[in-house]
Amino acid sequence: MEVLKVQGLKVWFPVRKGLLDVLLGRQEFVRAVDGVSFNVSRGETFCLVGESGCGKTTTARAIMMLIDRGDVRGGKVLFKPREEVLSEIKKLQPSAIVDSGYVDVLATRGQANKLIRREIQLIFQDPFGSINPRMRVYDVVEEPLIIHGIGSREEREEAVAKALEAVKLSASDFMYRFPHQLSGGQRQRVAIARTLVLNPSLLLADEPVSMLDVSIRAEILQVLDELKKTRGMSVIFITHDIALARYICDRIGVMYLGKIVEIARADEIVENPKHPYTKALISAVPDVVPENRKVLRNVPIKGEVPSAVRIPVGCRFRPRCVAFDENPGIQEKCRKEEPGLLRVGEEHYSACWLN
Amino acid sequence: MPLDRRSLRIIAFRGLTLTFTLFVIVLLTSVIMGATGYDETVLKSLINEEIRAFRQELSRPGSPYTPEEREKLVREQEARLRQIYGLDKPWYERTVSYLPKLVTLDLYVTSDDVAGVLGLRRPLKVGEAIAVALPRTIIMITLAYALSALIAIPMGPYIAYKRGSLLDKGVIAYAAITNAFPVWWLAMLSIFFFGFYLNVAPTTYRPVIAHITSLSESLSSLDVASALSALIRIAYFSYVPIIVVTFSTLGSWLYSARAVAIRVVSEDYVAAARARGLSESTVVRRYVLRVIAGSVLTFIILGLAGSISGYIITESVFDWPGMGLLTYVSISVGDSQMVLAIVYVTTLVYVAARFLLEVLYVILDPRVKL
Amino acid sequence: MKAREEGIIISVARSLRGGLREVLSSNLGKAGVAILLFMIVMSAYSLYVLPSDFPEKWKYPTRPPWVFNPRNAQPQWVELFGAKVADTAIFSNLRADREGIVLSPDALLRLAPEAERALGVGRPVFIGYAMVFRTSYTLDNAAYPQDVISLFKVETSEKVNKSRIGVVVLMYITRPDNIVLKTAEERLTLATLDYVKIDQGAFASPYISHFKLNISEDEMRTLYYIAVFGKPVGKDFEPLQGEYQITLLLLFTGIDPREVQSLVRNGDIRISAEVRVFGTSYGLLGTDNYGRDLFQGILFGFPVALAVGFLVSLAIVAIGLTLGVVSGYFGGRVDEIIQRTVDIIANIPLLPLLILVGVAIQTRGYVGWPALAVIMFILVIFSWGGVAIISRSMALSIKSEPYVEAAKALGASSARIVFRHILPQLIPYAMAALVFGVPGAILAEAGLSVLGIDHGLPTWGRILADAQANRGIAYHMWWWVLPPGILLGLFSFAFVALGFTLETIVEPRLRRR
Repeated sequence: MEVLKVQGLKVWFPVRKGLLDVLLGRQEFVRAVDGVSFNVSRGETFCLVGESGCGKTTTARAIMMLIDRGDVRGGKVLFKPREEVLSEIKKLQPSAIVDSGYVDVLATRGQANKLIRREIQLIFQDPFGSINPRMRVYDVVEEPLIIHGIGSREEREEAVAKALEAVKLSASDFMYRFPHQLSGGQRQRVAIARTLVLNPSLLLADEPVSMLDVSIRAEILQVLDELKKTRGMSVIFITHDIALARYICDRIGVMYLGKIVEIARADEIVENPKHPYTKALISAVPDVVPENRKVLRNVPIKGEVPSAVRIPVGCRFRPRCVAFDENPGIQEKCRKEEPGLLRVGEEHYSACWLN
Repeated sequence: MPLDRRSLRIIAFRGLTLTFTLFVIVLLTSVIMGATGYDETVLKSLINEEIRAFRQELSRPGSPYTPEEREKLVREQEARLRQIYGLDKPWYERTVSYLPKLVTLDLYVTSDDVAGVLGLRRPLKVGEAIAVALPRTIIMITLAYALSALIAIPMGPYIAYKRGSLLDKGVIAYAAITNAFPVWWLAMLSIFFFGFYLNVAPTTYRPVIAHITSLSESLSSLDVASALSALIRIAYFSYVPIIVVTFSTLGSWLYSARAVAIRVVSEDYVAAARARGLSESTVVRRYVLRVIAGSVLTFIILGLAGSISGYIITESVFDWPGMGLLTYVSISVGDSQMVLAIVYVTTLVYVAARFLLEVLYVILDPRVKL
Repeated sequence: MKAREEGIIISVARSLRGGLREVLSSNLGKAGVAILLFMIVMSAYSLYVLPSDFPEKWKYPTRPPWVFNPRNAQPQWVELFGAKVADTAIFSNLRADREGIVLSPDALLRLAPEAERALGVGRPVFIGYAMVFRTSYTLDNAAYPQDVISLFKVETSEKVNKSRIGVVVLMYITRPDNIVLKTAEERLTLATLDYVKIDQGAFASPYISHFKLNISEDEMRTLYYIAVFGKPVGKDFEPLQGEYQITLLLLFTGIDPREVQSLVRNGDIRISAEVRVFGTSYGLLGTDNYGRDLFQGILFGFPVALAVGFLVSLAIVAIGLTLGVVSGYFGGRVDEIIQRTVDIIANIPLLPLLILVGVAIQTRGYVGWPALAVIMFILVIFSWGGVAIISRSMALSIKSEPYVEAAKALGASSARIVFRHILPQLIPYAMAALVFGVPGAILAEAGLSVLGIDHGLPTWGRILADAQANRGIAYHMWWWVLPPGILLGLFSFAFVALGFTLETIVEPRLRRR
């Protein structure tokens, strides 16, 4: 059963809104997310993979309602909250509820919006920036509880201690420290604890380990995995590292220039990639066997990512596609028409005219 | 460097904003003069003065009028004056009616005191008044300003290098002191010290007018000898004010130049240049001065543009008949047309300087955004 | 709500502590703190010592208490540096040391022998009841005191009809050379008995004949007190140093002397005298051209300077910070409006505007505190732009910090984000801006005063303005020009110095990201 359904999400940012542009009615957009759809099931870990600038973080921010509503130019984010939350929202804003138990997240306002925020939490990439340097660990972890008016002072203290223990930080040791007294890994664990106190049913993790030392990455991933298992949370894991994604995710969606180009079970996508972009991503992963790394492999991709302001007509991957050059037969189609996600196997979809 | 359409658009937009700013400031000034009743009080006393003179004229012995006729004439004269000065209209019509004429400076000085400060007589156009006062401020305030800039800018990087040294600390203390003690107070002391105590400078500075006039006359008649002697006398009158203003502004200049340079001096490429074995002076010239040129240019242009409005209090203390004193006297005697003209011209110059800078920014740095 | 307040208070306390540590680590900062402490102590002292109606008193220089002070007097301590000044001496609460009924000239002369010895007066003929007050003054420098003034304090019971009892007041000065001058003779009543001063006319003609001077009585009067306190040497005079006896003789007339005597003895009439010798030096800081005690005037300036500086600066920072944060955090149309407003006020010629408003409120007749308040208001209105620009850019950069985004993701309200996450970061900057803003306000007030925008309160600027207007400089009255200017400068210096040291805290924060 899906806990989250993202349908045709579009996030376009206006470029340079000068007075004269407004007067002349001119407007250009950065199409950061340009029609993204995927589902996440309860208890599942779903990975969004892609190079930087492909829109994966923007997708997460849109789901988190951190994007100005005006910049969301289409699509829906449907979320199935817990029963008690759902019934609350039913009272507060019945119009936000669409078919049987799903809440249109982007349509929620005021209190309803706040309730939804308790259910969806986000872990940021940068453990140094995402914690206010002037707040103690205790204040940081307690803040969500204060915001949502949960518990008495004693109860909050207990909840904070519990959350810290859950991320394997000794509460008595760390509670009253300042962020600058912590290591990167400890900070990221504090950030995770901050999301846990609210006991969310969906957790978004935006490259949570990419800024950490390699040696402590495993630790954090382990914490995340354990939490997922013990609490039954769904996780959306965002990473540029498809190898990492394979090991921690159930399913993977590969994003390119604002769109998902391939989506499948993790093993399937790595072992049997269909989209030329996915193939390129996988062949760029260094080999596990050190000797093989010395062989310079040919990564099947060319050129640079085009600007998200001027997305190529037709298939957006076309200018970089090696398969496009090799298959003169489909070139006409690639130039004119944008491929949708086509079923290429069991739970396996790819957006390429070659399939 | 060619300007693309986007840059032109940014420049045009800034131009519009600054013009709007200028307009609002002039409007605001006229509203303050009108709405507070300041303008009206002053005009009324002006009319009363003229009526008194008129009445005296009529009641001189041997005048052909009966007392009734005299009263009638006085009343008529009063009504005419009220119309001339615009007192028959509400203040907003009166003050706003100045605004269109302001653009071409088609206004007149209404007070004899204002004309007197400049050593001129009425009728006098506001433009002429400013044209007379401006050079006097330039040879005093602006000159002093330029002087301290000239001293401070080359010293900035040098002080920045010696950060933490006695020189550096001394400069900071000097800047703090000259920032704290008002320049007009130093002016008072200097009049006492140089004028009354040492007796090597004038104790009153208004007479400089005569020498400036004789300088411009002898220049136009190409009389070099008398021009030179006038120049020497002007120098005698202006050296104390120039020293005082330079002394006072130098602190801020040194501090700013130092602050700007410190940022650059601690950059890696400067360290790299020194590591390459380039001499200190080359490093300063090629890597430091060139980089800080932009900030320095901003300081200089805005400083000079600001200086032409004069130092109101300092000029008043010295009784130096420049823009500052003109501003002060115009305001205190309530010559609203002159006040508006001064606010308009000084703000225009300042705003124009800012516009010039912004154009330079856009040309030099294509990344500038609105 | 509570957490929000805690956040702000804690960060204020924390940055205060941090700021103080930073400030005390440099000499400039130490100097600033020391001066500031001095200012605070002096302000407290001023509020404790000066009466609440002091500004009102200061405003009328030709009324008491100032008329009972010497004019243009130098500070007393100049004597230590060898200056030739005559001390100002005040002998207060003098009680009559002799009294009695005078029925014959001899009886009077027994009470006050000076009356006989006074130059050219001869034997006075009075009948009545007399009281005699005496004191002595030592002139120990080659200088002339300016005047001798005797003040009387009369207390009577209801029995006494004060205007019915006439009093003849005689003042004699016995000089070190044993010449006695009758320096005043006035016929008053008990009701009008307030003070007498030296009257040159009372001794001019006998003085001229005694010293065989070749001048007229009128010329004699133009000599002022040189005649009283000096001896002729050729065509000139020179100060006569030594001890001077001052004798006051009050003779009650128009009433039975025995009645007065009994009234005095029963305490129905109580008279005490105060003799003031106006020297050329007075008090700690001398007097101005009206005799106003400059020390008191300057003392009053301390709390005013602190209050004006801090209030204006506080208001500027509060408005600038609020509008800057609103502008930066909320953006959009509000931002646009605030930005344009800042554009305008940043270009406004502030001083001409202030003078304009100052003259306007003067023509409207505002004086005292309301006038000062208007000037402060204008200062605030047109000065918050700089703070707003910087707070806006800081708010913008903090707004895009991930931790603000994180708080938003947690569902934090805008108020919470502003108060808990943005404002605390701006506190150190706000502190520095506060410190930097103080001297601007006080120097602007002083400058306006010098230009003659008179709010009527004794401030340092006002005193300087008086000195300027009355040509204190031309008369070499350095004690009128230097102390207020130095204090003004010291006061500003303290804040500029503190600001410079605080800048090192603010600057890295501004540049960190």
